[in-house]
Amino acid sequence: MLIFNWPKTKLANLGVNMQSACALAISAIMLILPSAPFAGDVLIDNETCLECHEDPAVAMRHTVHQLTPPDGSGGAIAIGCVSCHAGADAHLDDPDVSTIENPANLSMEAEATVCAACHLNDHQVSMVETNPHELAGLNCSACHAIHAAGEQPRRSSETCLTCHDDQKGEFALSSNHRVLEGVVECIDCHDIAQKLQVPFGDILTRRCFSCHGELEGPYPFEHQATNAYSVEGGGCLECHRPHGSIFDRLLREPGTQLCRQCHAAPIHQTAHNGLFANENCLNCHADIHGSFDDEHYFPPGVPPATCSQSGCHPLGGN
Amino acid sequence: MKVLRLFGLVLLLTICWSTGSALAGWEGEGSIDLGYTFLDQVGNRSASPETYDVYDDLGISLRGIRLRSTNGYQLNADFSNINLENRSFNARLRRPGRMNLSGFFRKTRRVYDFEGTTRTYRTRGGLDLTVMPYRTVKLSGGYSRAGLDGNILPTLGLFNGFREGVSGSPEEIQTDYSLDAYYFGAQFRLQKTVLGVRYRGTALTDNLDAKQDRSGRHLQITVFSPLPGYERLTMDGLFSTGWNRVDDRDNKRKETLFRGGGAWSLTDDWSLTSTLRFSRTDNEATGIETDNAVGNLFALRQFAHRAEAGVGYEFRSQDDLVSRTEANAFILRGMYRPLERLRLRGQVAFYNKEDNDKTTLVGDEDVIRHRFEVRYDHPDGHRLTIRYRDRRRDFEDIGAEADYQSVTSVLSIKVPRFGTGTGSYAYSKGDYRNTSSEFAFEQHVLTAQMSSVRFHHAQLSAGLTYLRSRLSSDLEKILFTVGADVVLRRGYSVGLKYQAHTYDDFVAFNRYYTANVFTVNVQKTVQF
Repeated sequence: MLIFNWPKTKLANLGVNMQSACALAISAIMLILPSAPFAGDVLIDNETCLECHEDPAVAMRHTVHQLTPPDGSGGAIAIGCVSCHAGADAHLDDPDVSTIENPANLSMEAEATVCAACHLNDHQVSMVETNPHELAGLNCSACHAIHAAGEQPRRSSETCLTCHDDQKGEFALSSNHRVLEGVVECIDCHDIAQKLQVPFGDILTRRCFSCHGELEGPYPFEHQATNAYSVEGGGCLECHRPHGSIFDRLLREPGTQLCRQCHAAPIHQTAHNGLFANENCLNCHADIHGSFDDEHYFPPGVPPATCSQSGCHPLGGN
Repeated sequence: MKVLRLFGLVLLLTICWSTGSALAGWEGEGSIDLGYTFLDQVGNRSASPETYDVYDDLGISLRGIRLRSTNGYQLNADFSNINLENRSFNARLRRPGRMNLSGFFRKTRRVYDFEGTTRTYRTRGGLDLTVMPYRTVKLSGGYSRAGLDGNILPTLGLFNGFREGVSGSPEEIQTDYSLDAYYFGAQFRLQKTVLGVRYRGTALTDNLDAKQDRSGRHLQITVFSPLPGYERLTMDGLFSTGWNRVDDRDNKRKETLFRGGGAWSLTDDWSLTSTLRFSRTDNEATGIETDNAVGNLFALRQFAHRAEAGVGYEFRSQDDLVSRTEANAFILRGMYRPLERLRLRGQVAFYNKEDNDKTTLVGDEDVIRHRFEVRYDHPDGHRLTIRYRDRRRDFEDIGAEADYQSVTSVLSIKVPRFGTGTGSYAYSKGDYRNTSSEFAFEQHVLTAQMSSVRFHHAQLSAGLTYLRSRLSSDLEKILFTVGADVVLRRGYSVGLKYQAHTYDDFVAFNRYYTANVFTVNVQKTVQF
């Protein structure tokens, strides 16, 4: 684990002082603090660099990294090539690629220090300090296209799938969350900046329910297997494979087989001469995520009245 | 109707264009896309998720809009298929370091039956605003709405459709709900210490059955900080409390969670990470109060980035006063680089859950899993990765087992004068057994993509996905894509794309599908 040592010069640029320490406890104090200085200095003008490197400047036009024009217009932050690329003096003397620093070739820790001149935020801090991506040897440029013309940062799932390429095969299965079509993005479910290697977002966030809110509950009659907190349950992933499956509704197995992994239900094998032995469980237990009407997740009207009149299935019982 | 819709959109585009030109002090660029998709399909419309949102129609889009004002504001926006049901909007106005206002809207379709007439539409949209009055303070708030309406066709059944107060055919379940959510929060940062507070409210409105309306409120406080004066120890903490309830019955499910953790770099080579989590969930509907406790510790030794070895342990406990389970898990992980560009990784993990009173449904559980990976990065940018994974899950008390194994190989090639290509092959098999039945599958997934460099203003691309699943299931799926983009003069470009989809389930007689999708897209880049 590498510890991220912020250079003193960078911290000074951020305007950090004891006043802001107090503000951590009392937010109101923060609101009366003076604004921190934003502007940096461009030591070597961009025009000198652009004599040879015009393409990156064109690509960065209208992006957050657009180079500051010579007249200084364009925003509160002055951005120059040398803001990120150190060693310009030597590079002017010897234009070899080795004489100037390319942050994309640095470690996460070193590149993040360069980026921290402007982008010191919780995402960056947590990525550097505790995120598994850092342990895997990735740096900021592995995901963020600094010179690219597109949106900054790249949100496309293609970025994730560059390394997590075995998930491509899962998204190709016949039932899938349509990530390859752009309907769902990886970061809709995965919080990549989550601290301390928690694979999903916080347990109370319940990412599945941000889209499938109708299934969140609570229900008067809960199917405990759907509740991650329950002694009986593993939550949504107990039955569903979120990336893809060959079975409808992202199920891990075909419906009845899936249910039987936990519910042997021997009575279904023999009652009515085995009539229901090969039926799909969800035919009757339709409200399987939880019910407002019945403890066995029967929708209203199931089982029919005759089942209860026979004495075998008193209403609300087995 | 279609003519009227097109006329309205052309008018909208004209207004957008003229408004954009009139934005004094802004400059930038974007593109206007006109694309027509020809869709020819036969078979079961529900069999191919890839074509759920393909419409045989003209699509109008504004893409890649990037505007920048002289006083530092930036506007990025994409409006795709404005006139179609699968429209998608994204926009972001920001001033770096000061504020960020973003919004999105997306509408998608899902098809359930053979003819494609039973379907649902899912819409998602929202607005988020972040303001940074100071570089150490971030205030944020937002609102979002997710909705689903239409008819769902459950798996074929005897009694489906008997839902009080809901219309629709006996085979369909009508659904129409919306989930509204709002939040506001604040984040304070001092160097690497980050303190966050967030309040979130939700309301689920079922437009067909008011008794299913639900609401929720949650407060969350997070802190992330190095230990003052000793930056080798980074701490992470979270407290969350809140409830969800059924409005009609006022049944609440209250949740409270504490989580604390730390990452401790003992030396440059040794590190320890640990997490402790405790949560209590009180469900008034069931009268069950459940406590969850989790504690883990992971030690990692690195050898100058040439190798690493880690060992971890986790303890879990779940207790609802009637049932109590305890679980222990161990993990061993390693990485070795025998060569600079060759990396070997491996992992083995064990998980054992015990239900001492035998009061839970599934009882004891044993899991063992292995993961191995070999990766080679060629100096020219080629990469070869081979992975093996397996997992065995055993529920001894109820006689159920689940086995899963997979081998994946991925090859990426970069040829500077020609382009890039990626091919992968995955083989996996699974076997699920219980006291009354068994299900097994074996599947092969082959994927390939290539993209050329630009030859004389033209770029070619192609892709193939092949899936074959056998044993208890028997299905085959092929997706073939080929396309070309040609840059013309005066900011115009033309894109052509052809896709062929085939799907065959050889067990279910009506699960077959074939589609040809041809798209022509004309793009005009505009400078504002």
